[in-house]
Amino acid sequence: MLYSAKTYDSQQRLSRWVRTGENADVPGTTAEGLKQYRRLFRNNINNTLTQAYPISLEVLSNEQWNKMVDGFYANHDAQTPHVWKLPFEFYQFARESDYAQKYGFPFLNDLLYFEWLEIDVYTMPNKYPEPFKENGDAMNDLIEVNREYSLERLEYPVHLYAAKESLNHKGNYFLLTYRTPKDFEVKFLDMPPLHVLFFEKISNERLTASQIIDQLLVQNNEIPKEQLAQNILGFIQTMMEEKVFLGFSENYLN
Amino acid sequence: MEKKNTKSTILTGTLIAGALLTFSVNADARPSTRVLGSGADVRTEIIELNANSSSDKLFELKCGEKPATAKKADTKTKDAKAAEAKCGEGKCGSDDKKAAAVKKDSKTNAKAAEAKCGEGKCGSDTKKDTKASTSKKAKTSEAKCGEGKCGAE
Repeated sequence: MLYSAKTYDSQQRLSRWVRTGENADVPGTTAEGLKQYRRLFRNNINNTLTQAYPISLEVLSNEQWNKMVDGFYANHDAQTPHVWKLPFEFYQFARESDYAQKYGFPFLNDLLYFEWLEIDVYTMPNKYPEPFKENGDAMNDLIEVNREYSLERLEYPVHLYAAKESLNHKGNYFLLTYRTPKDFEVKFLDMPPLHVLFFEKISNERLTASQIIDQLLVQNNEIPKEQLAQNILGFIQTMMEEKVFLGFSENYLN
Repeated sequence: MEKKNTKSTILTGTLIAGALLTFSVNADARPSTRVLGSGADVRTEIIELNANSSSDKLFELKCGEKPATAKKADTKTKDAKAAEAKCGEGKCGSDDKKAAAVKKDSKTNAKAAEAKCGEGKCGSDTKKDTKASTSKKAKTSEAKCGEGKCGAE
């Protein structure tokens, strides 16, 4: 059923008041009722965001946090109907509004994103692995990767240091966020570029560790092959223990 | 059938070259992947580091060293027992981790899985209230509309 023009107008006025707190002369309402209405709605949004971003909440002052929430609430037209997805739009809003620069916290975008990643990976759709076996040759067999992960580059190591301390360690950091099979726990790994390279080639290009090493030796023949193989063996072992690598692929190559 | 994923790399050519060069030149700087732990563990540790404005690195306390919070507590109580801890007696920093485990919450459970509009504690106006409920026990509780204290300013 279509709204009457009058109902539509009242609804628009009410939502304007609820979002901005600016007097919108909503017909048939009392000032005290409107005040409570806005407060309850705003608290719902704030609660969702504070649960999603506890570290940012700790780092920012009350004033800074509230200003961001108020700005988001008043100015952002949410695209998702899901409350739990709202924090991602909050991150997008904060990035686009450049609060990092406004507050003099260059790490803020990385921090918000790092916090969102946990929710994102936790709620990602199931991705099932191909058939795999537990035992195999770590260097020469294809490895089956747990597909429920997100690999991201961060400029500030907000996953390793207090946010303000991360300013002293600006660089290239690679954070693997993944969900463990069976118990669906979200975990984090901090990876050096060399291991990211191997991880991506194993995961995306379906190469074995020894094939990757051979490729790299073509690019740089000064790499000590034995040490590299040892290092990668340790890396694969860690990934197996952490259930990022599930086992060895059961296909014609193995 | 062999499947190839065309997912693009997040590494730049410079980074790859740098990583290989470092490996070939510097024998002492062999890279290692670091297990940071579960989301709840990492979050709790990072919040603690932020709360103390610590310059410590996550999970990298030196042997015998205590987290900033423990240092503060020691200064106050001058607990002799704590000073007697020796290297090899348990994993370094495990005190801190235990504390984290106690505090362990389920941010994702509470929020992502079942969150609905109207859930959570209603009516707390100040950030301070929310902060307390976020970082402590209340954060993990699955409060539903009507269960919380509504209307309190």
